[in-house]
Amino acid sequence: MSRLWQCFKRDLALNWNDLGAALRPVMFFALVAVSFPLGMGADPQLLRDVAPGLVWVAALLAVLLALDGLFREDVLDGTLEQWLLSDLPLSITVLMRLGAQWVSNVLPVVLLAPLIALALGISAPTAGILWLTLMLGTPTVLLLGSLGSALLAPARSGSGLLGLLVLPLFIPILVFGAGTTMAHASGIEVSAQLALLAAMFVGALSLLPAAIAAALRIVTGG
Amino acid sequence: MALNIEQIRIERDERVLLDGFDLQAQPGELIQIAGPNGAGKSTLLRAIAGVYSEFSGLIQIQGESAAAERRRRVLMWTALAGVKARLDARQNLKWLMDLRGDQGDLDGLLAQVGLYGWEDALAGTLSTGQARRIALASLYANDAPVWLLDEPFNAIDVQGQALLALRIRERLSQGGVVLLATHHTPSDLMPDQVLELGASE
Repeated sequence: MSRLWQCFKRDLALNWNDLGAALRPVMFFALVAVSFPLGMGADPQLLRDVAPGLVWVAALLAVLLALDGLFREDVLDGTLEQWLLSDLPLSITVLMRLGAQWVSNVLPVVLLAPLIALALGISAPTAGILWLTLMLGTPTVLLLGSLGSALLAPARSGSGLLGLLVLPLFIPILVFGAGTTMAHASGIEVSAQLALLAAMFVGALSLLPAAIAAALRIVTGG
Repeated sequence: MALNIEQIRIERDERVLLDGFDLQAQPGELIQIAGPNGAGKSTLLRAIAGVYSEFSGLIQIQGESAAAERRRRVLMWTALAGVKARLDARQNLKWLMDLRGDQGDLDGLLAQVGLYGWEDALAGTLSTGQARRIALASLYANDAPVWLLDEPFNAIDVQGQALLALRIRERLSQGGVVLLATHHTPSDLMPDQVLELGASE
């Protein structure tokens, strides 16, 4: 257990020592959210209507930034080789890496999102629901997208391909995430949608680490 | 028999690297694997270590042939040492030892390889040779039955090479098997077997 904690702490330290890269997703997210009203015009009703979708799309693209090159450095500096050889299961090491990646790259986005939503005119309870959908949805999306990152790990410039590969996987989460928030805004009970998002998260959490580990083994010839 | 390889055939990218290759090693033996670049030295080591599975034939370490069992019985050091530029020397060493389940006094080990005073320096600010010494320090804490060292003397100065040779001899005297994939060995290391790959081509 303490060895896993060490893995997690090390991955956090890695991100911490390159804060510029770790904060890129949240910077991107903030820029998109702030420039949108400028382009759309300042009609409060319009902004309130598009806000859930806007925040969700911006958050998804921010996650995509966090996924770019997730395992590339590990292939280039020999870390992956040591992961493969360790008696710690690769799926668990991968899960620790993703956990650290979520905390340092995606959590700032999730924390900023309700504030952006409030600024766009969404009511406080709906902003809370939006925050909940992001808390459940972004880890799911990160897990799904990591499968693509793993498959593209040895490719030197896989960023364009990564988007093509993983964006289709994001669609159900996007539909449910934004849809739940919009439903709540129009006064519909959303606990069922939230439960579904939670179920998708639990499913991804239990199945994908093994799949990502398998993908990493395949790309290294194991 | 610490290491037993029988009739293996390794292909990579649809090219046959090895065919009908045999190797038997007793505890305490030093084996050099020589051969030109691209002859398959690294791939052979990776196959032995259990992280490359595109081969046919038998590889046993202490009688175990399952890849997962082999992975637990080897230490592999490749040209890429697994050192992160953005972490300091102590963090890097701790992580390497942690992954292998090794214990030891981190600062003491770093001092042993001449990194006293550099413990808190980011690996990215160290020279290539110093970064490799971090990985070298992790060898001092490891007692896996089989060591697979891929070009271990690269980018290490004469002093570092002597340290590494010393540690290899120490490990051999404890009954470990050490495979060196390298073109040349320092004069103070005498391989018990030298295998030439790609000689027939």
